[in-house]
Amino acid sequence: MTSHHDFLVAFEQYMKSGNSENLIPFLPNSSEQASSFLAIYRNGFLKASISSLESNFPCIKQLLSADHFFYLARTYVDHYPPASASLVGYGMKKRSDGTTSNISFLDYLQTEESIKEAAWLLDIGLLDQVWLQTLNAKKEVALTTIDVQKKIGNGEDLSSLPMSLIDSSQVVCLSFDVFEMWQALRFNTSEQNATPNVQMIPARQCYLLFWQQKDQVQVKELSLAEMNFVQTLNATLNLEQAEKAAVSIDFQNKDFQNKDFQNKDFQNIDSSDERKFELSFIFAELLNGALLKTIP
Amino acid sequence: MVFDSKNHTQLGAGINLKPQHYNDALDVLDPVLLERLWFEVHTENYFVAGGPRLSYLQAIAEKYPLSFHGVGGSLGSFTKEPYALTQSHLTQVVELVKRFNPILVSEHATWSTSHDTYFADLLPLPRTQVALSNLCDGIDRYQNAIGRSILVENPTNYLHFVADMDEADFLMEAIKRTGAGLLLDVNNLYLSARNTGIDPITYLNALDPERVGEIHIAGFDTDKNFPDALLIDSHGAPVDDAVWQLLDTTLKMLGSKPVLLERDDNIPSFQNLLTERNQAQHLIQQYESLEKIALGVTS
Repeated sequence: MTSHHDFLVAFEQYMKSGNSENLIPFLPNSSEQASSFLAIYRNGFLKASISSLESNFPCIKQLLSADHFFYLARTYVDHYPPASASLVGYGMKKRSDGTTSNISFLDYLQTEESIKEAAWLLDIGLLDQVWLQTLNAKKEVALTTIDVQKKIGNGEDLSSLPMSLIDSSQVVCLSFDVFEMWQALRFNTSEQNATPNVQMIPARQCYLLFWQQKDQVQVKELSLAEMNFVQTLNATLNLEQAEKAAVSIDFQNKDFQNKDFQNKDFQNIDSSDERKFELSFIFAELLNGALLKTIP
Repeated sequence: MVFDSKNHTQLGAGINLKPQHYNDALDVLDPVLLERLWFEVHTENYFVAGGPRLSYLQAIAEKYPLSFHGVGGSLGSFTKEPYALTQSHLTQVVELVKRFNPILVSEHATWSTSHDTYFADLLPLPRTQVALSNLCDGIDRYQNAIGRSILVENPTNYLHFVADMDEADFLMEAIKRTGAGLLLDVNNLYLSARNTGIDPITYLNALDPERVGEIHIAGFDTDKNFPDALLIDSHGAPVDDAVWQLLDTTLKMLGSKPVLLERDDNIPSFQNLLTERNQAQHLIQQYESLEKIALGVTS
């Protein structure tokens, strides 16, 4: 006697392995043709999962051959199938506020021999991931200049006011100079038919702050000191401690170039330069970018 | 919490909404269209915390009736202790239903999740008494969570599995036990008939028209290896003439119902979809007029 549970287990085994042996008791007309028809379900699952990886990592897909991307995506789906009942965000790194697979597509690519020579591709994937996560992040009420003026007017000490960056913000640390290439791929802004020169991608440590404002993704390049400032602020919620962390850093980010990004869903407000770290300056920038929130 | 199809007679023919058509949908000015047009979205595509996707959906919901059509509810794999994966899914559905208050909420008489994996497809159920009981538990759990009745859609069948009863009887029994309604996918019915040899007229005769709350139509593909024996529910082509004919028959037998045009692949322009949708709207109005005449109602 077979149960409903047995059916589900047998079907699950088939979906994961392609082995339909245990489904035979549930197929009254078991035949070679029946096995072929059964494949519709498995193919549908694989197609949907791979298509989701294509959507979530569009620039990786553009930089690899179709066969190579399919191979990587298919192997990933085999090993790490979707672990939540929605494909939105499938393959993305788990964030504290999200539910996605524990081993991300990028984690998997790091172990994949066929892309060992193109480590910069992981930075491209990271930008794909952070952009989409930021775009879909929750709207938050940010601290405004008027709020700050009121607090100062009320005699409040801003330095003791618990605050952090809004939850949609993420700091990305890149190891290669790929941001402009990624931007051109993601928003199709490169010259027509221009193929990125992937042979000449220099290593360059770079920190980018992503956040969402009015349904658009914003980005700002940070100096090492600024990066330390925002990370310490998020960890301690204290402006003074964040400032101390920032000023203790020697400025190493010397090769910054201003960029002028304009895209429907992607804008930057400013970029860092070689300026000396000043709390008042970065505080004003974060405030103007609607990046700060107070913690009740 | 019993579904009543009479509550939705104002809906005409709708379209499942894709992101590339957000602005087109919001730009519609034609008062005739605005009177009966509605949109349906896949609920899981809005499992995001914020951003433009939800903002667009909010704008659409303020202009049109909106329906949520779930594809990941896995109603048929219900266990006494729901998987964490299923529970987490339902929590997100509840949040969306609470926020948007859609006019209809629907799911499938299928399953798609195990304890640790989402098999992103609509997997079949054996039509046994135990499977029926499990499906009813799944529908109950879903309805209790969102606090309202749902519509349950008939699957596309590609081959026979063990069965104690016909699909129409299986679904009507599930609906009777749970208070849900039926979302009759006419394209699925056509494909099941072609793939497994069932008679669609016998199927339609077994349905209670009062419990049918919505009809889906869509296009299909033929399998390249079995072009005469296997039709695939792709939603990637215009509605086939045979499906239009079956829709006509369905409306004749069940009465006028809201009809939803589905298109998920090879997506054409919004205008092309509207043209196809208008064909369904014309059919609905034709049967509404006949019903009014039969009831002696003059406009």
